[in-house]
Amino acid sequence: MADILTQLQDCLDQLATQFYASIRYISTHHDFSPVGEQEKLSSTDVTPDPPQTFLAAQRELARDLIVKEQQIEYLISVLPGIGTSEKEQEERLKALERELREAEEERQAAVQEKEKLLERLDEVIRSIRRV
Amino acid sequence: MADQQQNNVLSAVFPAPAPFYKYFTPANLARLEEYRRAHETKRASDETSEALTTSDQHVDIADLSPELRFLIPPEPPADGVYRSFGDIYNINDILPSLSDQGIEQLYPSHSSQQPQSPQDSTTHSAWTFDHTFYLRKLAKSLLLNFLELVGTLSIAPDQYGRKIEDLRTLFINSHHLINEYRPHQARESLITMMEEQLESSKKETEGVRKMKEKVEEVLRQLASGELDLADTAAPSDQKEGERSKADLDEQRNIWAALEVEPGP
Repeated sequence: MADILTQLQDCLDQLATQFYASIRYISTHHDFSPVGEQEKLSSTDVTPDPPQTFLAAQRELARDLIVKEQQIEYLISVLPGIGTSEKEQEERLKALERELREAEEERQAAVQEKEKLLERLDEVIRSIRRV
Repeated sequence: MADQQQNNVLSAVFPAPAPFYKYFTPANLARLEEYRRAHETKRASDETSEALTTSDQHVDIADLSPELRFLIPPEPPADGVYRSFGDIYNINDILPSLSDQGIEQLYPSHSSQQPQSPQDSTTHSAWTFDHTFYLRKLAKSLLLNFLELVGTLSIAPDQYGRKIEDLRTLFINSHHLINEYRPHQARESLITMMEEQLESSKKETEGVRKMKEKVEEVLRQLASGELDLADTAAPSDQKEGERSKADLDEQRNIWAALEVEPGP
């Protein structure tokens, strides 16, 4: 999963694509209205959808836009580190570095102890075997 | 001969790694560390020579043996620019501002004030709130402008230009705002990663400790068990008769049980 900022950027790009797709759908699938007594126009570029389908599609496109917008707003609200300043971050980083170093030393000591313990166990097992 | 080799390196499709990579052995690194330490103590001992203290950390490269010289990274270029594959790059990757790109900036610029007041932490944390606030605002504006665009198209389709331009500006602004936020997110993810590492390191230590306690407990029991055996085995002389009697009883019982079992 990409980081939140990248997700946000992807969402913005998708929103732009949806804008385009919505307008394109309307401009290629709309029906014509007769003006006065004139005959209804038609065009090779346009293949009118039945009114019901057209309305439903419009509704769906609009709903998708809203959903995308909500997604974007949600992503904005969960951006990492909202409310922490750069200085606070730096202090936290320094503290963490210190802690990490200490923890690493402890871990090394523990690993050494483990090794010693293994040796002791080895000895015990060997002595049992001998008996 | 050396010339020929040079030619080979240059004409290869994928350039060979720089030849000095072979010097980065643990032994050499240890030697460099040792040299540095010796250097430091020497510097500490003759503090009167100020020329040395001013050039802090700089190990005199000329003093080192050739295979160690490569282990000291070179200084970053002084003019802040470097070349890679024929392109020129900035060391400090600066995000070009929107006005530099000829695009209207729709939010107050904090980034320009930000590095100038690092001691003021309250405005800093407010900066992130501002960022999210303006991002949200821009997102809402996007939707509104699209609505306006559709409205314009339904009434005067040839007037689309201005709204499209507005949308473009809004999108670019949003992306720019997001990119300005990136360093902040990078630091934040680094913090998270370090926290995770710390957690796992502590867990491992804890696990080893628990295992150690368990093993020691077992060993102790084993030792005390052995001691018990030794205790009972050593002073058994005077109880020999008793013991053998008990043993005999037990053996008799076993035999009795064995005789009974096969019966129908």
